[in-house]
Amino acid sequence: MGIAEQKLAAMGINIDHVDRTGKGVLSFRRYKDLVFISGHGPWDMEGKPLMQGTVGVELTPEQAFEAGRLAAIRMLATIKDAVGDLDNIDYFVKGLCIFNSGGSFYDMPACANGFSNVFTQAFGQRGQHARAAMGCGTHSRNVPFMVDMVIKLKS
Amino acid sequence: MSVAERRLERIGLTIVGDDNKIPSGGGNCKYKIHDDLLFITGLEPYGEDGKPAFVGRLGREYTLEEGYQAARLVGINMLTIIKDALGDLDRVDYFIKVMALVNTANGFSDLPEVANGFTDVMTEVFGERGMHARTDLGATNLNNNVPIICDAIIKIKQ
Repeated sequence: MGIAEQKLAAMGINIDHVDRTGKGVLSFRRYKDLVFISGHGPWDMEGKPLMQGTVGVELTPEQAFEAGRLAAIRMLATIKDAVGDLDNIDYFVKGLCIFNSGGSFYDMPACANGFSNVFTQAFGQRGQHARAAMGCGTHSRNVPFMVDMVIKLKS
Repeated sequence: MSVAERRLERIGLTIVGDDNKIPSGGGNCKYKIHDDLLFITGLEPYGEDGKPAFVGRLGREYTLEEGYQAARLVGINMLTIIKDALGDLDRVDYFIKVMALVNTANGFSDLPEVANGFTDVMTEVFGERGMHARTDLGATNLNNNVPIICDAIIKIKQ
């Protein structure tokens, strides 16, 4: 216990320990003029999945495209929370698009455009970004798609 | 290719840069520092002997609770790497971003609950500064068949 805490303890004041168990994940973290956004899926504001299933098994590529669009919309809410005004965004840097994939579904880039198109439609050339798209075995709560992002703010 | 190198090529000579002295497989290091950023390689839940302490998948060999403990071990291993990189853990300003790869089978999807083992170690040690943005994904295969791998980007105090 530090000196300040010892004095407080002598005054009968004990400092509670802040318990962050299971609560350590932020939806975004800022570093200088960059914002790192956590993985987002097609969720509503309460985190309830709007779509579930594996692309290529239960879901079609068209539905995967729509999952990308829904994840983009949810991510925009986080971005607005992070930057206050979407016009504070300079440009989008990098996105990682991950599809819960099975069967013979290999068309990740075309489906990831469901996500990326939202940004180019809203931000034009500034909405373009480097992107990696991949398939994985499972996602949290069986959503078909997750994406994270790095964003550059205006200085 | 530079003018000099094109001329070398024309006369049939090749030059070997320093990078080519690194043997195959030596290209991956545990961490890299750029300015005030510390990039940590994806780490496995290895034990003190350097061998994987957990081998298997969530949803098959391991339960959520066991996966959580494997994730905690990844966190502890990362603290060792950070200390090695920075000399003192107090030089960590804050965590920025983590990617958690969880080795899954049979549709196991409680990925955040497993990866929280890693995140809880960081908030226990660094408080709010240990919090971070995170992406979790369920992999179908990981190196050594370990249940979880985490990498990280960390801001260093200047």
